[in-house]
Amino acid sequence: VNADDKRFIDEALPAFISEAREQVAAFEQLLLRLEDAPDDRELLDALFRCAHTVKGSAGIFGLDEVVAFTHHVETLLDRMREGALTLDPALSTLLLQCNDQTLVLVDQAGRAPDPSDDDAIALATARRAELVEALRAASGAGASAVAVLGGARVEDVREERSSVLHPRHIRARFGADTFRNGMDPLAVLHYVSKLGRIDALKADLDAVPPLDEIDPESCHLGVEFEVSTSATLQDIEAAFSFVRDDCELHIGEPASHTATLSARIDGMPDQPRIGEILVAAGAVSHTDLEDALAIQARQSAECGAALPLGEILATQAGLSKQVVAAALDKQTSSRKREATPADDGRYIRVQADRLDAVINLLGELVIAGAGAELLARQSRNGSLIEANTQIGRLIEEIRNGTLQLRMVPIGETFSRFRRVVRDTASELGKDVALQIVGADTELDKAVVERIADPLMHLVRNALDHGLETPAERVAAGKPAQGTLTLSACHETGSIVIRIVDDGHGIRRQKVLERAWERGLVERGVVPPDDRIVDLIFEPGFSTAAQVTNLSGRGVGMDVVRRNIEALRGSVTVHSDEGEGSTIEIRLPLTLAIIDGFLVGMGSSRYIFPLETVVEVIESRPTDTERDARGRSIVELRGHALPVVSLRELYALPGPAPARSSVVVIQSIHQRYGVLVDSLLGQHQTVIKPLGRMFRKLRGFSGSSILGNGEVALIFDAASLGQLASAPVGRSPLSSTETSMSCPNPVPP
Amino acid sequence: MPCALDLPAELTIYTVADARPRWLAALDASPGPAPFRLGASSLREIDGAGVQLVASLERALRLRSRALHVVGVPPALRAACEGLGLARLLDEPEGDRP
Repeated sequence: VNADDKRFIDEALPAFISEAREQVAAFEQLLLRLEDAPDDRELLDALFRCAHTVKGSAGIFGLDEVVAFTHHVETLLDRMREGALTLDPALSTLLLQCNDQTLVLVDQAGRAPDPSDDDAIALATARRAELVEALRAASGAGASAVAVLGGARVEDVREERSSVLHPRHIRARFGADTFRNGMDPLAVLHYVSKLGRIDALKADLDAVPPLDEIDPESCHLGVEFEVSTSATLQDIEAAFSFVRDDCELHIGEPASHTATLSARIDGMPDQPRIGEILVAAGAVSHTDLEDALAIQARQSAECGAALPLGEILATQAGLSKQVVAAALDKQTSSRKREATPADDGRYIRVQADRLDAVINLLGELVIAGAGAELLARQSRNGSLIEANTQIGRLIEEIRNGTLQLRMVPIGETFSRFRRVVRDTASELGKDVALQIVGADTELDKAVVERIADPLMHLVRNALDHGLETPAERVAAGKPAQGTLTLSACHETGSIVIRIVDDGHGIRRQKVLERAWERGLVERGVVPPDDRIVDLIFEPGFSTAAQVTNLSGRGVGMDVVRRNIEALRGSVTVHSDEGEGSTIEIRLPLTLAIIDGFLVGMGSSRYIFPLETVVEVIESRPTDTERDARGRSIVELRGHALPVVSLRELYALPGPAPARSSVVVIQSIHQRYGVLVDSLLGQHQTVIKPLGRMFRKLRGFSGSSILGNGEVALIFDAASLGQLASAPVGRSPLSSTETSMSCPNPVPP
Repeated sequence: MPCALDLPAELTIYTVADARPRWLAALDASPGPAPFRLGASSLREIDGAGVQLVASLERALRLRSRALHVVGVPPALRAACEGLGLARLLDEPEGDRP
């Protein structure tokens, strides 16, 4: 390996590692989908391509271990593609285990060698040897020879399966990066020559520029030949698979003589050059074209201008005008298409921190914009106000667009659980089907990343404690296979993730006994049913009769709840004994900026997330007296609306004004009103976390800085609702913070 | 007759970029219209990129109305050219026989 190679490998290796990881993840997903649909040829082919891509690119980097190992996986997949094997659970498990080892190897390639890893590496090597044996056994005794192609091993042609030879006409134009990717058309053709006899091999040099202009490291080569082979179309394509991504490959029957030239030109793939079109269609020979090109070049050298190639060919090679016209049409249409490529599936990869930096700046911009708008309004200068309003509108659009950039579908996270469910269920001797609903629901990337662990815990918990073994299920009159459903959807400005199982549900008596035992509830006291279920989230609670290695990892449901609450989310559980449980996680769509509704209480400002505000009504005489927590009922269009007074709930200082308003809030399960002093309208709210002092304050999800530098607390509709409906006696202020009697925000 | 240019032992994707400027200089230095003599006897290793560069040289010569004459073709070069359907590159042009 020379210095250049080494530099290239050092630079490109991280990209390979990350790509290989993606391929490994895709392999797992495809395999699990294939389990459900073993006859899906496309899935199988995609699976094969994953393994093949990892092997191919590992070959470029000289990662021989990866190549050697994935080779065996590929052989097995090939047997499946031939129809000699079908995917059964045992085979699937084997392939999944192999895939894990591929990942180990890929990760190993990405790390600097570390002597302390030696034991682990030796262990993994032994594991792989076992797996290779298993793969060999599964692939059948017909172990195939190994040939060398472009530095990477590929399977040699298998024993001729039938003696019937098919003539095929093949035309290939290799992509510009072929050489740079470490591939060589020569090696590809050498491989094809093992598939059968190659005839009439012609190089297509039309695209090779003269020495004066050529970039010698770009590939401009094309070939055309006929091969008589018993190999299938897929086998031939497989020969090109290393270069397939940017290679134009055409495999067809040998040219039929009856088709008219014009029709063939019409059906041809797009080629930018008229000469290529005519040669490919068989209208002129290469020699004709070369001559014509030479003439054209001489003309332009001598008189500075040349006849169009089509015309030269028409006179030189006796080409009919009609054919030239057809070729010209084709050329024009293909050029047009090149100008507007259909780039549907194109993405730009952006580093997450860069995006975060933009979003942070955007937050500052929103605050600064609000400050400017405030000053403009104070100045009462009409045109200044108008200009600021315009800026504000643009900022809002930028905000929405930028936050959209961070949105990712949750499906990727969900599908990771397929494997978890599969492996965990089989480990526990349970039969569980995983259903995924709403995989395309989008939420902030930061939220997705941080929700994965709590979700994992909840899924494991459901598998371990919720769902029963097939025997138990049948005895309970349920289908033997349990169902675990992961669903996601948007609801009033949050995303709701539900983990639903149809297991035996939470046994309240057991929970209660454990809570008594652990001193979470005083012995003999029986809280309401929903409170009992909630106890599973208390610190130090664990109902597992025996600690398994699955859910008993020292991480309790209390940690799950804490992690979710750290995301300004909430988690609730509903359970019917014998029927199953539903765990509902409610998360904000974004952690950064929301549309808020600003209200005033005395001199302080508070914000409701705008999505939760249904309407605002003028305060009216209440139908009932306010109780000690400031709660009353008003009648709204014939319905009773519970209303809570912030002043009394939080014991805010200052007298109530003569006129006040009620903001009607829609939270998860209830609609309620909040009595406030003044309404200050819509406000773009940059969410800042609550300081340590306020963290234990209930009913709030964060804070925000207003344009004038004041701080406003942001209400969390769900927890405020819970708080307001809690029985008298539970304080909104945590018991440990009783000294904090007033949640009036103070500027930092 | 001396050769206008001699091929190195290795003509592959690793060396083509370095070779091109030297070849261009040789092309400019060698007068027409006689065929351009390319000495190949030292060549031991060639790949698709190398064959492509030879084809590119041939094309440049054709534009200058000159022919390419490869002298002392080693088996590696013949195999590579045949493998890509380019054996005609190695044909001796008429009128250049000794």
